[in-house]
Amino acid sequence: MSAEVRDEAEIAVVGAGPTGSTAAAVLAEQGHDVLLLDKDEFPREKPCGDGLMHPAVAAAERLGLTELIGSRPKIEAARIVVAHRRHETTRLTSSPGRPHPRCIGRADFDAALLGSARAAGARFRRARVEGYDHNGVGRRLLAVDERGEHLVVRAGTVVAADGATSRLRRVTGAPSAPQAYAVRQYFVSQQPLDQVFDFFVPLEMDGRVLSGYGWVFPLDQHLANVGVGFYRDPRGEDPPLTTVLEAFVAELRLKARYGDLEAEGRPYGSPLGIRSAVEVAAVDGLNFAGDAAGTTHALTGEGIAFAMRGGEAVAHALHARGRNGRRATLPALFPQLGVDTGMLNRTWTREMSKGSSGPTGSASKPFLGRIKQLVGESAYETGAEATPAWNRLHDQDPALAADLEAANTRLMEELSTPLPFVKEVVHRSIRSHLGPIYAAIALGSTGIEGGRLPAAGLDAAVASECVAVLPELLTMLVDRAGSKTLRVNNAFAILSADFAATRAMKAAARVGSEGALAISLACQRGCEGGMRDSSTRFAPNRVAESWFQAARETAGSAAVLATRLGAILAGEDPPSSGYGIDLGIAIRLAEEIVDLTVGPEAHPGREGADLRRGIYSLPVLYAIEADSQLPQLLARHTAEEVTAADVVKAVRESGGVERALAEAETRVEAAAAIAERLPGRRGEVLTALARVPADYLRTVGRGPAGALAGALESV
Amino acid sequence: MGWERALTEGELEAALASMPEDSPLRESCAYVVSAPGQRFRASVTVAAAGFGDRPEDPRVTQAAVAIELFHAATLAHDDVVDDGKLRRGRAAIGARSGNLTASLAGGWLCARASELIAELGARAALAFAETTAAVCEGEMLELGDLHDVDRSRERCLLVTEAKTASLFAFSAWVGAVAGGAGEAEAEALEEYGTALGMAFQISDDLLDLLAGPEETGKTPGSDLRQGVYTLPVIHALEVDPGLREQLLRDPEPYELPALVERVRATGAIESTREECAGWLERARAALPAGGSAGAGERLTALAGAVGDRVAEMAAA
Repeated sequence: MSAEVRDEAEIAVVGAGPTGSTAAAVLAEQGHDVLLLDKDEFPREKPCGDGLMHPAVAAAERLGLTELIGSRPKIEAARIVVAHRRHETTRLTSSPGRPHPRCIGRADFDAALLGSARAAGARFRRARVEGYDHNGVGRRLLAVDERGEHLVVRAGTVVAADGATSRLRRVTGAPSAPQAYAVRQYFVSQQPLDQVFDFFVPLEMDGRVLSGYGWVFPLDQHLANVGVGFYRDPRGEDPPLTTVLEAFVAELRLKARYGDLEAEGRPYGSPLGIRSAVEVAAVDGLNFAGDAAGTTHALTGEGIAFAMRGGEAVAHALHARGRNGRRATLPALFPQLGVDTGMLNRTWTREMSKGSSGPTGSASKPFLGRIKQLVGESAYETGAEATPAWNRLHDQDPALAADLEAANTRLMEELSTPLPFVKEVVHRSIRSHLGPIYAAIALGSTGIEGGRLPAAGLDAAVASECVAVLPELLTMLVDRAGSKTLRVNNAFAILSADFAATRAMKAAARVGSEGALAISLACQRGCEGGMRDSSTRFAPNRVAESWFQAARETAGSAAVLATRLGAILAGEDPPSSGYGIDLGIAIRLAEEIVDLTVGPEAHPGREGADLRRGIYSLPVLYAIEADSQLPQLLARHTAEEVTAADVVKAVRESGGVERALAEAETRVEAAAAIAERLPGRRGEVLTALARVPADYLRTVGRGPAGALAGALESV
Repeated sequence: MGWERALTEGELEAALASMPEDSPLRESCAYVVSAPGQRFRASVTVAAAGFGDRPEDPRVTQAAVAIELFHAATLAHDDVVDDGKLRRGRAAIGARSGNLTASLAGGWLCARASELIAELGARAALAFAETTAAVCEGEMLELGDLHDVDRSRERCLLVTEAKTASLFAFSAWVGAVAGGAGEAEAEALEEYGTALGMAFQISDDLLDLLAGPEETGKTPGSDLRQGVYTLPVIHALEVDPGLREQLLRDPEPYELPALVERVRATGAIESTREECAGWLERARAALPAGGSAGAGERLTALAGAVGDRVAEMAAA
């Protein structure tokens, strides 16, 4: 019988890759006794693109790796190269808290991370973990150390960060076959490399298009990380990884994009940590994180950012658990992961195989463009906190703000559709403006004290917010959808609107038949208003009255619905519809003013979107009244002879923005005046909410564009 | 035919009267609603009311109208999703007036339908809302399965139940309830509706594969071309492994006739017809006893009509 070595730790972390080392570093910093285990001796090679997106770089900076980061190429752009012919380049900008991506070889990066963890006080042991026993007293990891001897580690809790091929996952009975694989090799390039991430599609082999892509990332001026990653055929009829890589490299050499390419070192391949659902602790005492939990993104194959943020999240959760027993919440943290992207992959692959006849720009596919934006970001907010609507409620009563947060959570649950990314697109749209204001109005209209909301209150809130978001979803439809991806764009746009509408109807029906009636009427008005907007597109002779009518029908109806649903729950008469109409108009006006005037910092990629679609919002209509040359300028903008910025300048100079701001303020005051006459809590809350559009205009106005600075007096 | 059309065209048109005269949406809604159709679901509703003690109640017609308004809305939306150019022999609303108009028209019609049902009470309102949610979810599931050559039979049937059978089930149930039928009858009729709906969609899927535009009003083989692999194709994929490769290479429209032949050769048509017949049998078996003059017969005749569609096809 061989000797058994024992060890003990408060927290054992299995796997010293980015996930494990990050978790260990954070926990050790906070004073925990951490033992980090890995089968390898560091530094060691790792198959990976070596590309670190901004959240990974930020996490690495938090762990003190600033010098290493600073010494490696700063990545300025991501370039998608289609069939070696066309590019689509996206600039990668940086801002506080959002550093530039970098390209750092994993051998160095992982070794530095491990160093960080050890510097923070974590112990490291080289051992291969083979089993986990939690049935006896306490929890034990069964491992084999570097000398081949059995090692038993007793731990209070375990972080399972042992990667895509996680043994701990397998031995605890929660396996799932890898869906995708990747392989990379280093090459010395003759030409100097641009500081960009290059992605190549389609990835072809023997006339078949594989569901994935090839890449070339610059480790320095002349050393490139070249690789391919793709989804496997479920029936296993794929060519071997290295064959695909060879074909890709041969193609690169043929096109001589990088001059000659000379291999340095051998290829390294492995499965990707993509799962159909991000799985956290399946078993008592085990907390999965990183690739072991399946947090590699299904569309981009990117893993390190999620790995490190996941490591941090698990560490914080474990640290906090001692205080209040909260569990790690990876799925909530990364809602864009663990979704079924099969259809998107298959459609995109087929499109590529036909040579992609349609336009590639995201502007031509608004819904898919939003998805692409989300996918490109490794982290974003999913709650209602700190939105203008939430802020006003919080000022009134933190318990009310908590109710709004609960309504937001329920909204996200209701909008969990079989199609991926829909609820995220909806949420992003809500968050990038006033927040869930319609939900807040519904809650406020109940007059119910914060924290005492009945279940139907959440229904009222969800129904109102869903109805309000419908017009935006529908405007993401395109006409003349020739290509498959354009059809998919339309399918997403209309089905997400339908889904939101049907869920809203269900929610309203739960409030009662009166609720069902109220929402039916609100939706009819909303559709009529949408048509009024749509039929006046590209019509500079649209009169302001038509705009007001449409605004009443769309935003006004949604706000009135919110007040009605709330009132039904309160068993009271709703406030006069003037409140909802004026507030709805103010909300829509505030959104339009901001969308028109504020630059990309606040709403990346959205500036001028309305103008491009021929939607002339009220500031523009007011400007047309004052400036007879403006219609001509608008026509030139449609013909792409002048930019949106030129139009905005003209609109501002003619006083259109100022007049619109004044109108917004008037409506805010009118709504507040009506609400002030309502007795009790309902009156207080609704008065406060009437001010939200003004808050929004003021907060955004303080931003770098300063477009609205000082335009509104404090309310 | 054995079953009469339950609604006149005027009754559907009349439902649009609540829209303001000057609304730019009026024309498009009228266009959508005026598309020629058999008003099959409305017939189910009216016939099912025969199992209650007040089958002539005006709320029965109201429910039937609502259902057909909703059905018309789903067709308008389906055409946006599929980028369909033709529907019932005329230009699809999206192709004619733009996708946004099609969506808004469909949305208005659905909301109007919901208003009519809401007047029948909270229970009906909730059941309708759940039905609309099921239809939408079915469409999404179907979209998610596009071009999936490994799509299973079970998955296909699940989608069919959500996107089609659910509305038939509701049609039968609400007719029974509006007509004053009891709980047990309403439930049995709901089951009838589900089974009938399954058979209806399966027959529709066969029609899509086999029939020409004169019969369907749509371009033939559209499911296959879009990547929607229905029961006959799923059967064929199980029997003929080479078909998988052919579908993976994304066939051109001119390759479709040969592809359809290949599917036929696997006996997929017969097997699907049997599936359809099985559901029709279940529908008939679910019918409760009793019901005023001819109610049961009318519902049986409706099932028979679905069966006839399939019988005609198989011979070709």
